[in-house]
Amino acid sequence: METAIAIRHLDKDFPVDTKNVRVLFDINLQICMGELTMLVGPSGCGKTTLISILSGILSLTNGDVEVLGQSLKAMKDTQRVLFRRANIGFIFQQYNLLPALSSAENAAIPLLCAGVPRTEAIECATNILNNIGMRGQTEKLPHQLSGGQQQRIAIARALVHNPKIIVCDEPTAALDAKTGTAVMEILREIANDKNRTVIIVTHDNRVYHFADRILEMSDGRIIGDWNTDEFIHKE
Amino acid sequence: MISMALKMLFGDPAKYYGLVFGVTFATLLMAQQTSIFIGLMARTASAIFAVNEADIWVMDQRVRYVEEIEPLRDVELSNVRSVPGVQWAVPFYKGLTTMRMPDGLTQQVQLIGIDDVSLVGMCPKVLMGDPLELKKPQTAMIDKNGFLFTWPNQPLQLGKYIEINDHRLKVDSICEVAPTFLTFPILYVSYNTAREILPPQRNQMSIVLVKAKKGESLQALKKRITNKTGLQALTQNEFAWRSINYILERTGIPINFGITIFLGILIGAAITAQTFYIFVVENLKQFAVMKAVGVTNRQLLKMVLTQAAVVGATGYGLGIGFTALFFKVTANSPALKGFVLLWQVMAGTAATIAVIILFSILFSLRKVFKLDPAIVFRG
Repeated sequence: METAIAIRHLDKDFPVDTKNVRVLFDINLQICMGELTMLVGPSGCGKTTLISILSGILSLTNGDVEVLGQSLKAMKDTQRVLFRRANIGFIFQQYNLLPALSSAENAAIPLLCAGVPRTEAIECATNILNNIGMRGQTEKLPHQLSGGQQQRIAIARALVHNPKIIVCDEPTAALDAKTGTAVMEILREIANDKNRTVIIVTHDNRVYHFADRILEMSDGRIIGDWNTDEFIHKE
Repeated sequence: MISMALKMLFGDPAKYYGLVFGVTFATLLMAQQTSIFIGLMARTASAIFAVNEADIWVMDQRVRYVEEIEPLRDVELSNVRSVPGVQWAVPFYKGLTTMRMPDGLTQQVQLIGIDDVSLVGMCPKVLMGDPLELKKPQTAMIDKNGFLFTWPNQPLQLGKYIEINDHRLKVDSICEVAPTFLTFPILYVSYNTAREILPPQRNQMSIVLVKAKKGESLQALKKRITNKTGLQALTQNEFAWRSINYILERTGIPINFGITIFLGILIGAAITAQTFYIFVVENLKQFAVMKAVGVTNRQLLKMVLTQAAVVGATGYGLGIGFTALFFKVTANSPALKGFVLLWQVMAGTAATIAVIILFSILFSLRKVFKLDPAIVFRG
């Protein structure tokens, strides 16, 4: 399978007071297209830092990260923003929708910021929302929708610009079991596309069975690389 | 992106109205106070601009202000008339005196004595009566506001009498004058009548009004008059500016207005900057999401500038509107008559508001530019 992300000897330090504290240690990893990869581990182990780096939001300290064949280390800030805009879709735990915008407008943000005309962007976002069970809800504001519906808008926002990599941070943490499963089913379907890869940070053991691969982290290191059955059995 | 920025702005009505209020308040205070200040300065000179027939005003060297005039000797009129280049020269009296009101109380009035023969210096806008009646002894022309002040709730009418220094003067005409710096009633009388009704003084003439011969250089004529008489000779504009500068230099008026205008700028800037800052800070997560999904700093700059421009334009429009409304409503009030909102004041206020808005968003923008989009991953 085609490599989506290649991480080599990645370290990450954060400045704390006058000294640097290392939070990621020598991470080496390869993630392929068509995979749904979950990052699991206790709070504070570095999962979110890792996905922030591989999605080009945080800079790295040592090593290199290649995403879709391009080194993030070599990119300038603006280049990284444009790279993210073109290739990465985000789904957050708290949805992070803009409260003043309708569902369709929220979902269309990546297209709007890429300069796609508004009518076209809204139409595209509406189509995706319709496909993930949000028909008839596209004009509503986020506060008029349930948590599950808001997360679907976030999924639409992550997909609308057709990115190759979808990065999710605890996408089911704020949802009940049924809604969480429905959301994971959508993400699973996205990951079945051989031209995409989905990376999910989660604590939610109810959704582990949706993964193709589970990476276990502890204290800034990857301590296990499991296939799903092995991991569930181990747990 | 522009419509997104506007929806973010209007999506929080309380903050939007707070921002608009700050700008409106600053605009209103600046435009209104500046207009009143300029109006006051114009009032200072209005008594001078009311006399259009003369080219040169001749007065004592010590005169710095139209309302404080040192009297001249009568012989100076002949001296000025004898200067080559002078077509005519007439006496002019301007001063304050006390009038007895119909209710028995006394009231200060501005007395203007004009040449009996030529009536040079006459009020240019006569509303009622024949101004030539002034040539008769013991007659007067009163300004409209003075009439309404003296005989409140009565329609304008001729034939009334006023008393000054035990002299009865018949009001034979009523005029309308541009508001002056002093708001006392204005009485026009002939120069000889003025001399009769005023307490005896060795010198009484205030100013000699001079008309230059055709083609005569005013600057050269001024010089000749000063050389011959030792008096100060000024053109209408020069005397007006001399009076305005006196007010600017010697009174607390500019400082008081300056303080009010400065406070308007300061309070407006503080309200606007603080509200805008809070608006941006409270929306930081939204900006972070946009940065994470690929909105560039340049696009965010455009969004924030759009929001600022809308707030600025709305607040400025309302502020100018309220100022115009204020002057419209008070147009007939004697105390505020003649104060207008000049386009120069509007332009200056707009420029100041633009600076306030830019200053306000400066700190907010810094926060947005330095914003780490990784905060979107924190619950």
